[in-house]
Amino acid sequence: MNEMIIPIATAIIGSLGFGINMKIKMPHVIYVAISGGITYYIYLMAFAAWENNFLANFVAAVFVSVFAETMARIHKTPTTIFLTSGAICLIPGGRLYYAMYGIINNDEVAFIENGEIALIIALAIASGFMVVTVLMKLLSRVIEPQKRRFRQRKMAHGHESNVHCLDSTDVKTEVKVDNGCNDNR
Amino acid sequence: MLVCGAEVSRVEDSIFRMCKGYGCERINVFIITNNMQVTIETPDGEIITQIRTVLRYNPNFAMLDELNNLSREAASGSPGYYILSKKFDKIVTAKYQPRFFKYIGGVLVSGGFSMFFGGDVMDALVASIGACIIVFIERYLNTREDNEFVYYYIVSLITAIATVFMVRAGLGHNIDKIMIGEIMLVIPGVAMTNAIRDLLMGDTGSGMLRFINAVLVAGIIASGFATALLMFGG
Repeated sequence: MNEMIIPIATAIIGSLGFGINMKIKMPHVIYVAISGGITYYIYLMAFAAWENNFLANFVAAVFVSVFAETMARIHKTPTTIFLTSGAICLIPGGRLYYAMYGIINNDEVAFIENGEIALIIALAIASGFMVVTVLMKLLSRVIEPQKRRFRQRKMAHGHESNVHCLDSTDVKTEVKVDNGCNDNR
Repeated sequence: MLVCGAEVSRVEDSIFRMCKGYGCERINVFIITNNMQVTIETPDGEIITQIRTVLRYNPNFAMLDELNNLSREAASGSPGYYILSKKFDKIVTAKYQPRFFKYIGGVLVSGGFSMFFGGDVMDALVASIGACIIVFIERYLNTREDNEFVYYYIVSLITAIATVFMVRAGLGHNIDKIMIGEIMLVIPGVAMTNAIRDLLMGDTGSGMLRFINAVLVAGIIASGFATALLMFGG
């Protein structure tokens, strides 16, 4: 537990600094810092449990994403604010540096090893975000059944007011496409 | 909003909502990384197009928050042009934090992450000095250099040279930890996150463009640090 305090504390400090750098508003900065700390704690626990870079980062990224989505819904702010600064401690900066160091020292083994792990971590973070984004989209569709994207497409094609749609063939194809979309969802 | 660090889908959605709030018949929005264009058809049947170019991103989440609220307000209440432009000007010109806050943020990021990756207190101190240099150069170059890659290369090169000399002079112990702390400050985290989110929201084109841009910038930063290490030895 003792050796975990320094990384978590510095993760909190780093997230706080990043939040200040990105000019986040006052109460939100503190939530961001806390989420950074918790994220790294989860990462450490998951890594101790499975000894697997991908899974540990994935779980931590899922947590950050859920946290960001809930916070954004509570405070009515864009999700990016909480997501970017909370996930900063997962970014494999150290691995990238050692990979670069491997190149200039002609040390191919170090380059390949570190670069590979950095890539895996990036993939894990991306898929963690993806899972939560998809779930959130599904959830919001269940809660609030207005299909925003769908409406947008309809507007782009032109509603009843659009002259082009008054051609008989166009109307038919339009209706068919719309029905297909409806059924699929 | 795009400049402040929002995802493309959010900007598209906001424009769509606002135009709909003002009663436009047909709305087409197309946004990629450095170009946004909107075509609307007004109720009178007039078609209006506007294209804007976005030169450089400057993340400012407080402003993004305010602009987001303003766009929602415009969509639901549709206030008049005068009120809206007045509010917009107030948001854009407001000062969100004093200048030295940027330095504090940089110091916290660099110092925190150099200890996070296993450095000691001296390393954190040196990394903090490096962070001050980074923030200073970024401020200086912001209005003078248009090419993003040159900009990041100069920033990382000068910082790395300064770090190497500070370590030579006996300050700090682990040069690798110090440099990792500094890299974490310049790395384009916002661009990366937004790129991934754009990709997942279905804006594949702009997502890919932003992603490639972010990866290239990361490579440029790495090569800047590598140049300094090659020139003066690690």
